[in-house]
This record gives sequence, structure tokens and C-alpha cells, in this order.
Amino acid sequence: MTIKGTVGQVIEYKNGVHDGLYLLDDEYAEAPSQLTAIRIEKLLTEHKSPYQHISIYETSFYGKMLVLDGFIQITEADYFCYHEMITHVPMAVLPAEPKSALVIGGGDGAAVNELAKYQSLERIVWIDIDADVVEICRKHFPTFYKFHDQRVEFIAMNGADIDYKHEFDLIITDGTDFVGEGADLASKKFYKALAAALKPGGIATVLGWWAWPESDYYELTRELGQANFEHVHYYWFIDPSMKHGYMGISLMTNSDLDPTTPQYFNRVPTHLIQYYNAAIHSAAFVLPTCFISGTDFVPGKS
Amino acid sequence: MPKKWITDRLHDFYRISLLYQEVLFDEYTNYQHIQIVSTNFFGKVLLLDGIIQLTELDNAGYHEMIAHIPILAHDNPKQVLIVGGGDGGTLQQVLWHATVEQVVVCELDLRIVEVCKQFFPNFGKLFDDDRVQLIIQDAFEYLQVTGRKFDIIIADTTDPIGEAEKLFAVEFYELMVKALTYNGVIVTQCEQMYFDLQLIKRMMDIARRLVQHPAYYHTLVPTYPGGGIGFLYMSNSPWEKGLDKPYPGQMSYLNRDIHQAAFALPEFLRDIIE
Repeated sequence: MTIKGTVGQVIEYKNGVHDGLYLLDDEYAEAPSQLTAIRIEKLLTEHKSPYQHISIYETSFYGKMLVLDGFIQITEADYFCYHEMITHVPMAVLPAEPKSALVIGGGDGAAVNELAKYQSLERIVWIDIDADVVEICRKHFPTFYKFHDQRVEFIAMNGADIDYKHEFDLIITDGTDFVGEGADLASKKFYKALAAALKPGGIATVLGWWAWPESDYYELTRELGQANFEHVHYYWFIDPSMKHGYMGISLMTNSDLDPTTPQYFNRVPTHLIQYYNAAIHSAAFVLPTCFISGTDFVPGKS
Repeated sequence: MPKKWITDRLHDFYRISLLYQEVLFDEYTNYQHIQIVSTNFFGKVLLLDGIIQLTELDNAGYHEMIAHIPILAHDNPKQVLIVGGGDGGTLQQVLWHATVEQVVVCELDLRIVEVCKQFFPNFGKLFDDDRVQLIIQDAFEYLQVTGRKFDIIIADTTDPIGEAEKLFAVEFYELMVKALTYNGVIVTQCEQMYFDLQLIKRMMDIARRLVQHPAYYHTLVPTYPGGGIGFLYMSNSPWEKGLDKPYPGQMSYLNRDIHQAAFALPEFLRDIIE
């Protein structure tokens, strides 16, 4: 069949199997080889901010879904996998009980929400370039704001411009693809700023992308991490919303802590968590052979 | 030139479409619609009734995990039954094991075997191996009439729709257990934790009644809905027995740590099945 339409467009399947309205998500930005279409019931709201086009749909299976510039960002049905893995993994390995955290990106509020479940955290600074996303999500996704409280300090600015000196135990970067302003987070300047903003022994995480099939984003992130931190660890997890069916995270630190065992798991508010547990924590650092050494079949070369 | 997309039909709420260059094969057999397309990124792709079964790029995660986990957990596996698996991908992995003396492949549709011999020759040529016996029959019927016992049974089936639906029923699981030798191992394709939670619970409950050490494990397959698929391990012998044994041949996905990590399940799944 021919799919006419571009990323973020709603198309209608007619006279075939599973007729209905679907939103097209381009999973392979530069040379699309795969499209995912999510079935939608209706558009709940849309808004053009100074930075991006924001829309929220009611879907048939995933609950509400946030779309930015046509890219699916988060859905109610499966958000917990990614958001728990980017927050509780570092929280369970930081040696000193973390008091201050910085979240860059994640205008949907879900990453901050996971961190706010830790009463021991005294300060959560949250930076996102687009205050409109935050306002719209606060209204439409109350689940992602349930634990936000006065400890959360939101600042609307480009995350690449941060200038903190040894202030945070933990920094989580919950960014988008490296397009538009998102590309600023793939810069030497940003990684230097991350390293400078961390307290000694602190951890910074960024999206680690895909070790296999190898992607430019993966290579770039690894190089930038290794240039600015002594230790860069990669962990991953299967996630229905992600291209290639999974997402990798780059965990960067100057400490020689072993991130593969959740030594401080007793810190984690397990009664508030749906995905993460100690076994999953350790399993996430285990790489299939093809992540390490590739496979015989190489895309485009066969 | 307009782009050509082929769309997976398994779910109505979530549709994957792959960009393809040409249709290599397209036929309606007595049982199903077989399609093979060529794609630049994924290599050749096999679809049955419009549902992606395997691609050259990412099938190793599935075939290695469905075959080696059960075989390694057994002390001396000689007789193996593969239910379905007419493409030969699982057979390829099974035949790596030197102890295996005979493999029965019980496939409903002869055309799958013939077509995959042609388009996936690395898998298909193995049907000519002396150790392999191909039986073209409904697996349910076969297990009802055969007196044979197997050390390993691998249910490498399509999804529970149409003909394959009865392969996910308690009667079929009972038939498989009856056909097992002492401490034999069964592994079945058991769907996806986000989309098929209730089915997984149902299969786990059945497994718990039939064997002492049932377990669920999962693997990454980027072209499957949800990014992966799970398996149900069923035996009176625990899966851990397979750890720390050497892997035969060249593995693309499986290694010792992944073997163990595959059994780590997220909380929401554990809540349902434990």
C-alpha cells in the first residue's frame, strides 16, 4: 500500500484491515525504513509554541499521547518503563544519599515526577526550553504531576546554556532527537557543563540511543561522554514506544562506582513503581552479543 | 518514485510498516498468505497473513533464545520436536548441538518449508540434514497420535489467531507435557508483556499446574510489536541448569549474561504472573 503523509500527520486507513485514523510516527528520521502508526480516537488539543508544535491525542490503546513536531513523546500506557529506568537506576547507585537533582528536558513532567517520589531529595531543578509544553501537560497529564511539589523549581531555558558549579548529585537529560534546538544537547559545550554542574561523585545521564543497529547518535553520545567523564556506562531496556524497540541510556560519572548493582535499592520507593526492580536494574547493563560486536547482516549492504 | 510500505496486521492500535524494494514472493496457500519482501534496512522479510515473522536483520534474538535456553537446560537432549518453525530458523540453532540425534519438525503448511528453502537458504537447506524429519501435519493431531517422547519441545508458532489459536490452549499444553521424557523441557513462543498481559498470565497458570519450574523470559526483536517477544519455559528441571555451559556455534544475540538477564522481569509483569 502507499502511505501518503508525513511524520505527525493523521492518515486514514480505509477499505483494508483495521480501518481508522492513525498518527504517523517517523522512527527513522533521516532515511525512513520503518513507520509506526498509532491509532487515535481524537485530537484533544494543539498549540504552536515559539519552539514547537504541541498536540495531545486520545488513542485507542495507549491512553493520551503527547506529540511534539510530529514525534511521539509519551503515552499514558507505557511511559513508566522509560521514566522509571532513567531515574531509579542512578538513584539506586549514588553512594551519598542524593539531595539535589537537575532534570533537563522532559516537559511532560514524568521524569521529575519519578524523582519527586524520593522525599530525601530537597531540591529538583527542572529546565526545559518550552514552558508551554509544561503548562499544557500539567493540565492534560495529571499522572505525570502527581508528586510535583514546592521542591521542584522550573526554569524555561535551553538546557545547553546551564552554568552550575558542583551543585547536583544527579543530572538527568530527558531530551528529544538531535534536531532543531534538541541538537544543542549534542554539543561539547553541553557535556562540559554537565560535568561542571555535578558534585564530586555525582552521576549525569543522557540518552544513549542504539548500540545496534549502530546509529550515529550512539557514536556521538559515547564520544562526548568519554571526552568529558572518566567513566561512561551504557544500559538499555525494551520499550514499545522507541525506535528499534528499545532505548539506551548513557550513565556518566567521574566516580568509579559500579552502576550494575543497585547497592542502595532500599532507598527506592518500590510501592510507587510499576516497572523497575533490582533484577531489571542489573539486567539492563547486560548487552546482547550484537550490541558489542555487530552482526553479519549490515543494513544497506546486503 | 513512490515509496512502498508493507504494514504488519497483528494489532489494530499499533501498526508497523516497513519500507520495501520489491515483493519476492506472494502466494495464498491452503492455510495462509505467504509474502516475502526485500528491504534495504532489514534484509528479506517473511510475513504470514500480513504479520511479520522474521527479518534477516533481527531474527537471531528470537531463534537463539527459543532454541538454546531449553536445550542447554537438559543434561542429554537427543530427541527434539519443533512445532511450527517451517522457516527453519529454529532448526538451524537446534542442529548446532552435538547431542541432538533427531529433530522432528511438525509444520502444518508444506509451502512454508519449500518457499523458505528458496529465499532463506541458510535455514532451509538444513531440512536435508539426516537428523531432520519433516512431518506435515497439524501439531495438535500429531501429538494426539504419536507415541514418541521428546527431550525438548519447542513451539515456534505464529500468534493465537485462526489455526494457531488451539496451540495456546490448555489441551495442547497437556499434550506437549505428555510427550516429554523425564526432565524434558518445553519452550513456547509466548507473546509480549505490554500487549498480551492476560494471555501470559493464563499460560503461566496452565504451566504452573503442569510442571515444577515454569518461567517466563524475553528477548529483543526490533521488528516485532512492542520491540520484543517472550517465551514460556516449562520443565520439572529449572532453567538455571543451562547457565555456564558453552554455547554451540557463533551466537549473535545470546551470551551467558544475557541468558540470565532474559529472565529478569519488570514489576508489573511479576505482579501478574508470580
